[in-house]
Amino acid sequence: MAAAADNPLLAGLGLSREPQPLTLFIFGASGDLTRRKLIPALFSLFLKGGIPRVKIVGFARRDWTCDAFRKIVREILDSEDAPEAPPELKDSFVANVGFVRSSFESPEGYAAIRDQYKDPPNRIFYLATPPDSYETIIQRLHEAGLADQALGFSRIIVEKPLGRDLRSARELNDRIASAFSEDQIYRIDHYLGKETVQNIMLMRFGNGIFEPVWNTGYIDHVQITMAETIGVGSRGRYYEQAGALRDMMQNHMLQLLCLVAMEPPVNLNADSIHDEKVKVLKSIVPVGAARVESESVRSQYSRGIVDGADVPGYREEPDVDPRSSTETFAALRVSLDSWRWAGVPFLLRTGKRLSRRTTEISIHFKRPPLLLFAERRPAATPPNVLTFRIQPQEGIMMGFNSKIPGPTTDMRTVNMDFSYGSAFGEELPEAYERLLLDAMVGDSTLYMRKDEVDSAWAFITEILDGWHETGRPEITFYRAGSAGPDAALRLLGSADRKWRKL
Amino acid sequence: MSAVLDPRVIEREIARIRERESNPYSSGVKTNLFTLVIFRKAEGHEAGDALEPVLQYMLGKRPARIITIDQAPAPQTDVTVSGRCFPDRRNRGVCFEEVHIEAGDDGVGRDPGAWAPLLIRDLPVFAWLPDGLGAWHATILEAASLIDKLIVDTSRVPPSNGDLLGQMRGLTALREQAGGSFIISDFCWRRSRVLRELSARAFDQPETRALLSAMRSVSLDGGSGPDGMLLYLWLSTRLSWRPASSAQNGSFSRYPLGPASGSSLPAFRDRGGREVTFTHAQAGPLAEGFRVRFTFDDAPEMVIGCTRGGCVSNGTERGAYKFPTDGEILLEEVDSLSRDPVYQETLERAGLVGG
Repeated sequence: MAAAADNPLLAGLGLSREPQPLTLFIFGASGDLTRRKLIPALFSLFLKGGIPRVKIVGFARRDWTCDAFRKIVREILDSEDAPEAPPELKDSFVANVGFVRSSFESPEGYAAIRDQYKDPPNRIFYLATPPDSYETIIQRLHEAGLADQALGFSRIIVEKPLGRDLRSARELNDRIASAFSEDQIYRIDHYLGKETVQNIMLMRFGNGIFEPVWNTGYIDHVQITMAETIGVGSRGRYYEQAGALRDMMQNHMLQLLCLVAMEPPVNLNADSIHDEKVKVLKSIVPVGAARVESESVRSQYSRGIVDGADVPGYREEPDVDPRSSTETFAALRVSLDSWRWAGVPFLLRTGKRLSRRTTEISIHFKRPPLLLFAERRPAATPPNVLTFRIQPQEGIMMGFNSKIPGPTTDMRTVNMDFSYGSAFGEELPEAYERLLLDAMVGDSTLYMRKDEVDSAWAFITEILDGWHETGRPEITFYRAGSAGPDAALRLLGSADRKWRKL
Repeated sequence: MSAVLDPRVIEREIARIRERESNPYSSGVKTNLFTLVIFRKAEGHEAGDALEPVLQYMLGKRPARIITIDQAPAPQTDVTVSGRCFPDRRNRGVCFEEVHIEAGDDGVGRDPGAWAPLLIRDLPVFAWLPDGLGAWHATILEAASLIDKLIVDTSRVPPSNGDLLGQMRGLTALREQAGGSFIISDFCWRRSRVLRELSARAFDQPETRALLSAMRSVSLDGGSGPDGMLLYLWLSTRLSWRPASSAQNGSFSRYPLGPASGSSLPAFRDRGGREVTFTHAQAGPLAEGFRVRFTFDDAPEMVIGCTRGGCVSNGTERGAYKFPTDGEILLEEVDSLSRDPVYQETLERAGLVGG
């Protein structure tokens, strides 16, 4: 697309977000991700007129014809996962859907992509498959010349997990890099596509009042919480190999930490933002074997009651070793070696089968230097807390102290609460919608760059190695439906600090 | 002030209705994002008129206070207060607080002093004139400091008094008189975006971009008179064309604008001094189909257009275009307080040549 300066008619139209004609190939088209997220997100984009010239082609080994796949897509559009729309629009979307029946290994499937889908020449390959298929798919794409960009662009989107430690992540990155250059690779972390996550940057850098106090001079500590009420369900086999640290901390939580801690980027180019995030990741003080006990907590849920129902303990879940020591809860105290954040702990916790489903970031400010109004009850001056609620009840809340009516100077905390739901009535768009459109227009801002993934794994791998080498901290147990293990309290480091209630 | 417009009484009534209408189980905080003041002429504002579906689209999406002021053929001003809430998918009530003022011959309802206390402080105020500026000029001027954005729809100007350029000139003059305190926006500008978008895309290749300076004529089939006017004025600003006879005391060559509009447009000359003609035929809503033909010196003509089946830009199929509904346009307008500089330039151009 030419710059507005070259084409005077483009000025003010903001047209750069419409993708060029392209075909999106979904590997693993018969899977859950395609059904629940990708097709509904693509249909939503289609309804908004954002992808008028995009073909969608499923690629799977299922014994389906193109018509059979179209029928399945039509069923997805009729389900509650997809936005409501008139039947003719659904038909129009489905008419642009194709299917290639092939195993991931068979070169014929890739030849079919090359020969039957020449036009348009731009292609995106979405790997909605288990990661153990990545190597084969990438190799075959490369052999078929589908990574070449001579006639049009070729991009690849890969889903997490991007490795299980630093070594395997680098191997995977090298494997992808053997066929695709970095600017062709889109590593997805769907959390970054959430409106409320994007709002963190807008809030920080779109308002003048936050940046002056966004540092060690004013902030006591930061908490990032990702709590789930669900257990591992049918993912026991995967989870046994992963655990909470790999599953949530390495990607989603460290990405949230980056957004809170990063310096203002020089502009909104993808690389400028990635550069700032990498700086944060590189400033994290390593937690090796020597500090792993004091800076981390790992725990596992036992039987309990969640959402009013009895639930089994982790070791009783399907495909889980009855003696498993996999953590379903992890908490970390993260320190950043930077001018801005020296001395400010970032307290991260994530867990399954907790009492409430919530994802939030809370910024805990320091108390005023002189507690003028708390002579009699110093504890009655709680610190100000700014909370970003990522999900559910998306919004932002600021707690501040106010005088209680009466003849004393007693005060209590009151909340100033912005809720997306009360300000904007429509549903927030699905994260995949934004991320897919970004990949189509070549904007990788909300994707992860290789060095981000590397730096995050470098930090997490040291903790995993520390746990493995020292056996410390010991894995504890927490009751399903609780707020997590008491052991997490020791990370707070001060009697003045408390984990936010779940 | 008339007791009928006592703001304390009205605020109490709004609070009472809000309490009654809101969902007692909703956890959402009750809030408002803006005040929308709608100024309407005497005729055509009976219940169920064209504005209702537009507001209905916004209901459940943006909580707001809506003040509707109608010119009423009655001796005295009257006011009614109502409210409606729409639960979103999570059962949170998103509400409109509605004040309907029938501005009678006593002049009370037209006086900003009567309704200004009902504007919610510290929130944006949008003034929407669906029937044009008409008799509201003085009221708007008086209330200018209270208004953040003035929203008009030039395509609703009736053909019988279709001096479109005059209307646009009136808007720029009003803004100047008001010290530029508010932004002006136009439903028609948003609606006709498809013309600008397809044109911009058609000229976005290096070989077609060179044709911009060789353009000899533009003809539009379909669309309203204002759609054509905005297209031609927009091209004139973007391509630095000048009115054809601007040196001759304003006696411009003029082209009739649209088969039924009764308006005309001045002709423009390109930077080389050659006239670029404009013609408009086959008036109708853009959403029902249109075609724009560009001709050039020594080059084949170029065509952009849409039918119900999809759009084409210089031979490239672009799929179906999502023509915005008026509800979607209103929502977009009340979500933005930024000035569209390209529209502003176009409006100023209309003011310049509309004499």
